[in-house]
Amino acid sequence: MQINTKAYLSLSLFLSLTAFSQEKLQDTTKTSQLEEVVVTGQFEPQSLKKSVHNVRVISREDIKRLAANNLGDVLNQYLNISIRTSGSDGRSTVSMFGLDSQYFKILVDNVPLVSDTGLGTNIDLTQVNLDDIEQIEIIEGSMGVTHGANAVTGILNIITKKNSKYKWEITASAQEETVSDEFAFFDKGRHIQNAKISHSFNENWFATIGGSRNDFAGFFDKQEGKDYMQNDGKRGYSWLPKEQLVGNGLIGYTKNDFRIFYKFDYFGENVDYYNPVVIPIDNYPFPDTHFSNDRRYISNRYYHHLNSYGKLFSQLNYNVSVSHQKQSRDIEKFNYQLESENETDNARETYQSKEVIYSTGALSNFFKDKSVDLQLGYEAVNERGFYDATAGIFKDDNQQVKDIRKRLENYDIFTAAEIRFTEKFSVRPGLRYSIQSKFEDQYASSLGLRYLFSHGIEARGSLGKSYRTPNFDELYTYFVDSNHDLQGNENLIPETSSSYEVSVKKATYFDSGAQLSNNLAVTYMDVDDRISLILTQVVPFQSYKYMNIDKYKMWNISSTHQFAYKNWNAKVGLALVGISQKIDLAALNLTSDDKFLYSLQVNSNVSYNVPKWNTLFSIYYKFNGKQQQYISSTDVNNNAEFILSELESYGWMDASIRKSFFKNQFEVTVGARNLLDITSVQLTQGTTGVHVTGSDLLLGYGRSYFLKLTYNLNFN
Amino acid sequence: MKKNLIFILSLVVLAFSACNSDDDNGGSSSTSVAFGVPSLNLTEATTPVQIVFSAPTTAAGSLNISFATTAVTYGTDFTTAPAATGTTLTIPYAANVSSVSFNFNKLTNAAPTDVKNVKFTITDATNASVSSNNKIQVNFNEAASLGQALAAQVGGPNQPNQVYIDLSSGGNATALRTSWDLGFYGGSDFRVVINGSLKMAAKQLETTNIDEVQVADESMIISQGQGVASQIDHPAGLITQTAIAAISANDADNKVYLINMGSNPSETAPSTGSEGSASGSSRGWKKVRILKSGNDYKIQYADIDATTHEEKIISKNSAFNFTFFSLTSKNVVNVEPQKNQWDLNFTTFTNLVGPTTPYYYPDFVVTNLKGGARSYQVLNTETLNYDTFTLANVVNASFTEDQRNIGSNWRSTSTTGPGGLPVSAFVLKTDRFFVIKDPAGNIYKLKFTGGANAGGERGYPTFQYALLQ
Repeated sequence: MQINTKAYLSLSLFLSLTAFSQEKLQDTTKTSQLEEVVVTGQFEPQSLKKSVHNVRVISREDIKRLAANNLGDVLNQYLNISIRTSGSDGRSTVSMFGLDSQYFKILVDNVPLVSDTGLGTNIDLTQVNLDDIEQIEIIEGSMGVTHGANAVTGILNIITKKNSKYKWEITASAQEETVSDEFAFFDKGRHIQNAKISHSFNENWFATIGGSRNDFAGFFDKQEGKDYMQNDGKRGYSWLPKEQLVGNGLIGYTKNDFRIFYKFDYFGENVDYYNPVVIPIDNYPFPDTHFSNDRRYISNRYYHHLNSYGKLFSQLNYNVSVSHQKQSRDIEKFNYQLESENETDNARETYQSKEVIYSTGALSNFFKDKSVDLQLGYEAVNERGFYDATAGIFKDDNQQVKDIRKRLENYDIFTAAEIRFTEKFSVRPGLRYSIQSKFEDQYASSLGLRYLFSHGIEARGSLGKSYRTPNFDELYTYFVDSNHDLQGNENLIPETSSSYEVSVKKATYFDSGAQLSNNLAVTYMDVDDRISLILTQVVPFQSYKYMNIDKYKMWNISSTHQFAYKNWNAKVGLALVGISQKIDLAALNLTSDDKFLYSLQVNSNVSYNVPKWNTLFSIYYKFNGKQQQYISSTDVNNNAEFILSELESYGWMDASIRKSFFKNQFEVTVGARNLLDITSVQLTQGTTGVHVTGSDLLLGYGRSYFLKLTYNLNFN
Repeated sequence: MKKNLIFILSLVVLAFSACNSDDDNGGSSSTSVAFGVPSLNLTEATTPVQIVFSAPTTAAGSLNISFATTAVTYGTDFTTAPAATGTTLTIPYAANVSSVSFNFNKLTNAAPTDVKNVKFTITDATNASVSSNNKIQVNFNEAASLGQALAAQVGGPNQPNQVYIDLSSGGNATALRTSWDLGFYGGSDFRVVINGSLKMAAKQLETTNIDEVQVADESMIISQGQGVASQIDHPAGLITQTAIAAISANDADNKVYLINMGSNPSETAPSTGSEGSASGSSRGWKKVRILKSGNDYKIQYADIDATTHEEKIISKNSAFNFTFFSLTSKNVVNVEPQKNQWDLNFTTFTNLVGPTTPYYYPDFVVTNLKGGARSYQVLNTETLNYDTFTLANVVNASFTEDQRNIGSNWRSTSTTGPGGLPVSAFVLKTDRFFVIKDPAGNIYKLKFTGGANAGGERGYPTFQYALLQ
């Protein structure tokens, strides 16, 4: 409660402060509407300016300039987000404000996207294809009221294209990319092809169908590939080879106020893991032969989404979505015989899977009076999850591994009101109540304020709450024998979060035609009852159990500035994040220092268009400052202690040149990703007892170049 | 417009048909032929000599073997079937066979000190190439093995067995790890060891009264870096560094020891790739007091809460390193072969990491230090490896007094995987081999060829060795 009052206080303080400072801003430029339409967190699609939430938009143009093929390529440049890539299973996940992808929710057209282990959370960014995207909208902060569970650090909503102004729209593209300095047609590098056809049958019916293939041949680095026979850890790849296939289709019908669409999306992926361990087979008296225990991960995702929007009683607006989604990751283990290059003992089984039936709907526009609007909504989620025993540590008392199969359901109702006291001042309170099958019922509340000052200044304030539900590892891990005691905890409660944000934005339009937009935001967030694996006993052996014990606090000040003049476009952003974490080693009576540890991020981009040549030059740069974190460890005498782990700073730069030919029908983009040639960043930490830790954190595979050819054909 | 469509379609077709062309060279290696072992000692009048093929033969054929003799004559001391022509044998073989043999008939016997043998060499074969292991030495009497490939039957991932290997005879003796608790030294010292393969620990108490009730002390339990270094036998293996002090002739000096009996191996198989050698039930607690009884030992022992005790006289036997005793079966048990009849012991082991941290290892190999065997490790270099190493390369100073010179050095339980991250996996280290001197002075080179079976289950160590000469 104390925090709440404090935040309200600072909120009002900030508002009055901006109201005051606004007096001094005497520019002579005229203001005009900036018509960027957003849908995330809104009752109806509306202009960004009118939104009570502070919505960040990544435009189609940004995606094109980065020649981004998946979400990972784009988010590398986004302020406050960093991306973590795993070399062992090839997944890339998001980390925001130092919290991992379990706290960040990714949606497609307002419906959370399924992943191997979550709904909207724990998404592998490389599995989110960007082919048919209109724009990406991001709201930072706890968005529990509008988006339910696990929307703790923020949400990302991918808005796909659902119409076209042409009768026919045909696109085909091919992209060839080096992986660091490795490239060969077929066997090295990254090879992407995609095609899409959209057709408007008449003014009501629209359909689109598309497909793409993304073949990442892996990054060798110092590794020697799959046919290497020495047992010195050099077999395999530094980044795993991965092939993805995507197919999607949409059919939509629009008439007057009525709209319905059905969207289908298939995603298939094959990731090859080549074991660095080469196993010799004794063939005495003949020479040894060799094999490796290799495996491949095969993922399939099916996404169906039916959405309808319209009017009831010529007054109420309804918007209902029903979605069925399933993602499963199979693991196929096999022995690869190095001499004969044959696979033997192939065994395929499901590794992790998630099947979801999801529906959400809302009614709005209850009143004729435009100064008040009310939204009444529901969300129903039925998830069926499966974890193979080898996907975690799941054993029974006889040390036999066991699979985990569980169903989770939640049925939520939510309501929000938007009260426009004046044209300038809007208030938006909201509430959600969630009935949970597995956990205690949850609720979330939110309050948003928006005030439009003159001179294009917009001020917003919001507070939001959300919660994160425990995952399977935290609930069901079990490994107990005479030397080990590692236990999940079925009595865990969801973690709860609160976030507070005040932001002010100013748009300035100069007579010269120059446009300037400035944005300043201050955010505070805390997460309570954080779940972590706690050391509960030291003697005679160490016992661990997942418990709701830790605390997390974060505050963030960020400022972004965008400038456009004639053919120039520039953007710079700056964010300072302070994170405080209290890690509690219960049994040892030891808690970590919870002081705020700060890190700085800067992102920027500049683009210049040469109309005469039909050519656009762009460059993107992001600086990630040094990140610090306390982690628990043991000293030389085996006593527990906390040490400061530091991730060195690094920069990420992408650049591209795009040129159009033949009335924009043909487009060539050449560019470079990761110009600063980052591969890994040093992570320094102490040593822990017997096992030495501290290594480099894998970030990228170094500077690579791409060439993308796109053919666009639009006609009526 | 039509033209454009065709253009696009061809682009699409081009793009999607571009699939990976994995070249498959099938790795065709021809069949090769070799002797199954490089030496054998004749014990019977007729001994079959095995010749093996690397793969079943594709067609019938024959192979030629030449021989050279040492102090024996064909026809007088031995014959072969099929018979030799001069110093050459021709052995026919059928299609689709993996081995073929000829019989060696011993006609005369040799005295123990004689050196009498026949050396056979495969010279050529139809439809098969001759492997480098194309020689066998057939000895008329006992001679040290020239080498072979062996597997130590430690019993799979829970490693319930201790396996004693005698390189010169190829002998292979097995005992259950849980069959014994204490070993009473057979040499001149009066010392008692505890069973480190079970993670046992012994703590000296102040009292000499075995009937005093004791309580368990959980700080003695060896687990994940826990435990007390002074409560285990020093892992280097010197008899003067046992956890239990030397047994004194003066009974008042022989204190009671609190014994943690360690852990049983798991009763059930662990998941593939894991080991369960110490994840069974706890073996509980005992108290013991050991006294001298003439030139033998007397043990007093009981459960820790007992107020009475049992006693047993354990006699010394100088042919063995130790006389073994089980506190659970209350009997003397047979474990090790005679002290000069084994070189290596495959076992689990309580080692020290750093000066003070007891640490438990499965897959350990102990050298018979007390029986007089020594070993050391050689890392492969550009010029020196298992195949090129000869007697001239042996460095005698490297045979140090430590039974752990093989230890766990032959394997690792993690490796560096993609992205430089550690991967937990059983890894055979193929960058090294070992040199072993047996109690009789034979020097062998030995390389490990596996530790897990083809299914990935641990606890199936295999190795090859060859006599250096």
